[in-house]
Amino acid sequence: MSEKLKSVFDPINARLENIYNEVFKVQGYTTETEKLRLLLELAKEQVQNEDLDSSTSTAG
Amino acid sequence: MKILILQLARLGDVYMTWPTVRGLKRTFPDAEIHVLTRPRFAAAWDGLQEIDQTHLLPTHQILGPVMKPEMDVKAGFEEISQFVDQLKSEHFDWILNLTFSPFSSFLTHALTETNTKITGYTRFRDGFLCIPDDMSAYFYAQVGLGRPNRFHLIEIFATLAGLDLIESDWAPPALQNQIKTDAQVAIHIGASEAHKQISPAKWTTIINQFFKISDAKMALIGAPGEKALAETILAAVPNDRVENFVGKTTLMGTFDLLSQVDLLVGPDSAPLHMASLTKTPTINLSVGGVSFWETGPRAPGSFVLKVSEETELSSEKVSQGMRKVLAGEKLELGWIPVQKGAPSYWALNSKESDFQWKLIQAIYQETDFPGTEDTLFRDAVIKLEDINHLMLDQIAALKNGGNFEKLAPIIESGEEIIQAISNLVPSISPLVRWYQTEKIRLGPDQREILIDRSLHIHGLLDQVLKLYQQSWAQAAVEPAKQEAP
Repeated sequence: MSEKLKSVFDPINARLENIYNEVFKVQGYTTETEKLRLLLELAKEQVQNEDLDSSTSTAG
Repeated sequence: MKILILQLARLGDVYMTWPTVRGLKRTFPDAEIHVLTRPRFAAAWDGLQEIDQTHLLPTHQILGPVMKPEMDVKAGFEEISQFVDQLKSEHFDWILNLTFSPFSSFLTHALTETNTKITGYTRFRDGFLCIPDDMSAYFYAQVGLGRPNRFHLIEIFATLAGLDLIESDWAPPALQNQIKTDAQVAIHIGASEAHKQISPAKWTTIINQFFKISDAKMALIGAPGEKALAETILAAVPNDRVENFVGKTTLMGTFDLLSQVDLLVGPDSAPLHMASLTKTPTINLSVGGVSFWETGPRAPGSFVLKVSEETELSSEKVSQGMRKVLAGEKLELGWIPVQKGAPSYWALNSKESDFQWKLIQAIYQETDFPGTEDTLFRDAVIKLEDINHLMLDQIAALKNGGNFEKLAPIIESGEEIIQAISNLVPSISPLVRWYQTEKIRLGPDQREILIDRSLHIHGLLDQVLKLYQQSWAQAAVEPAKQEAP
């Protein structure tokens, strides 16, 4: 599952990272670039947080 | 006061946050407590009456547009902006970030207003990681798999909130009596991560061996996704003695069930942390890459059995341990008992592990630095002292107007050498990680201020290294004195 998620998110993360770097170069670290960074970090965390094959998360 | 707790980790972490939430409400009865959580873990806050409002991180809504084939970044940006702006409009007085992730640190910063108190990871104005408090600095430097930390996450969360937990902070929700069982033992057959799991074959052996030496009944618990595992186990054990609740209970129902049994057996996972609240003695079969020091069971009378992999797990030992805990008998060496105070466990450890823990206590709790005759550690201290002096000289030269372009690369090389020493001599790594974390905490500032703060950190490192050098010098002189006529 984790490999599958990785293959989905890797290109998304790479593109978001490029966009963030481009905007950061022009604007520096602002409220707006911070939100873009949040989008990037949220996407990056998905592989780790959504990999719940055998999770106890929906019941116990 | 309006407090926001960021807890974006899994179910177990949510339950480990419960005592802190209760402690906060006890300490600040008028406070309005909000939590931010992931939707799939939101149910784990049910029953915690101290929470005034639960906010959900709408991950799918935010990431949905960027996951489309045409990848609509603008729409994703608008979604995250809307989420941040909405949460920020709550005007929190205190943000307590208990998540320790990059995303949570950026979010904490995005939600910060002029007078907001921040605890936990956030960001400096230039976007670099900001570790504002000592407990978060400790977490950054010493907590996690393969690190020598022995403080439990429950106490780490409470300390971040500035709390000393008391007995009443540890309690389950009001029980709903939805679930009835006459089982004495609950077995949690699953785990949140594959590497923590125990195979159905192993469970079958453990259960059958236990039934040979005990009349107790059992209840199997687990998530809906673990129904097939339960069926495999049930096919190989006496069905009249095992009730199957796998996939059939809500989290609140699990609390009901745990409050009725005398023992929970399972891996490091959510039910174990729920059992800490119901005070149900637990046998934690801690397999593989988990640190029981940080996430083990806390109910009095609980034990951990630590093994590297499942093949090391003796079914005979586990079943005997279960019988003994139920009978209130003593368990032999090798079982790690829960104890009061910190650390929460008593365990026989390697000399190396004990040394690193004592080094941590000396650095952070001002106990005596542990003595050692280890030649590798000694060499590391000598080399660290050399490189630290070199770096001190360069930073002092900067202070005196030296050329930054010339001096900075030397300081940078010094940092690389320090890291290399830590990699080669793990016993000194807690000290190196403390040093590196303090350097990270410097953040953006005027060059003069940064130079002074850097000198202070290198000076502190020097004091510790000197202490060791002096103790060895003294030890070398003393035998010589004794031998003298």
